[in-house]
Amino acid sequence: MLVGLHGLHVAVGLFWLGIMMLQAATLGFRAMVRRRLLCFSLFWHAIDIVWIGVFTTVYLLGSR
Amino acid sequence: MGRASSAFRFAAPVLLGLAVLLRLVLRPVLRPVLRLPAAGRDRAAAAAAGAAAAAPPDPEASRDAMSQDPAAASGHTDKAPGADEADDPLHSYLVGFALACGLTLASFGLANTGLIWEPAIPVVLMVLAVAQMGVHLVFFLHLGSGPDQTNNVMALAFGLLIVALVLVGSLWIMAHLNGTMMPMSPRLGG
Repeated sequence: MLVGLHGLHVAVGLFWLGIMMLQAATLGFRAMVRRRLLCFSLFWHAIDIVWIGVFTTVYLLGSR
Repeated sequence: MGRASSAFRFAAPVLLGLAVLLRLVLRPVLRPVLRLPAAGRDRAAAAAAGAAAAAPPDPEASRDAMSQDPAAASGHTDKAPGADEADDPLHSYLVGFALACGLTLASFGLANTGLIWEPAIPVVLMVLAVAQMGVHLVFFLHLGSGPDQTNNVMALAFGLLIVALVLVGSLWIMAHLNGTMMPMSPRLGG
């Protein structure tokens, strides 16, 4: 459940990442794309912080 | 394995995590001190601040001093770690990446080897996890201690407060559910 929900968020983030790469390639780094990249980086690093909690509780503390 | 060395094995990683945290907190404070060419101006600024503090209390002036960026006041541009995007955006990310990698490897290494005292491992893991969260916040999400970051820090603190209230409150209520139920006869209970 915990890992699956996190995996869902990561999947959404990877999808978003692909869209941002396409937009950066086609539209260039105009202001709109940069704002979207900022939002994406906030989302990505937020789930990155969640990942610290997940691997610590599930993989390191959970296996004890 | 003697008692003293067990204690050392327990204390060493905890001290390491605390050192990383302390370094993150102290770095913006120590930077202007360690950068020698700026020391003279810093001392002048500190003397000016001391004179201002010694002067009779003037609420308007002290509020100005509080809201003013000390870097701008002393003429050089020291910044909090992670906030130096203008200088070299890559450097900050590389430092954060190295710290995060080190902390992750330390967590997995300490959990999977018998390097430290067994019952202390959860504590060590939590310390390392919190330290790594701090690293991510500072170096990747660019959360700093500067005056322009106050809103973000307060938003993070408020979010943590709300999440803690929801979680702790739910657990508290659920722990007492049985006691707050109406008395139920065995026949009525499914």
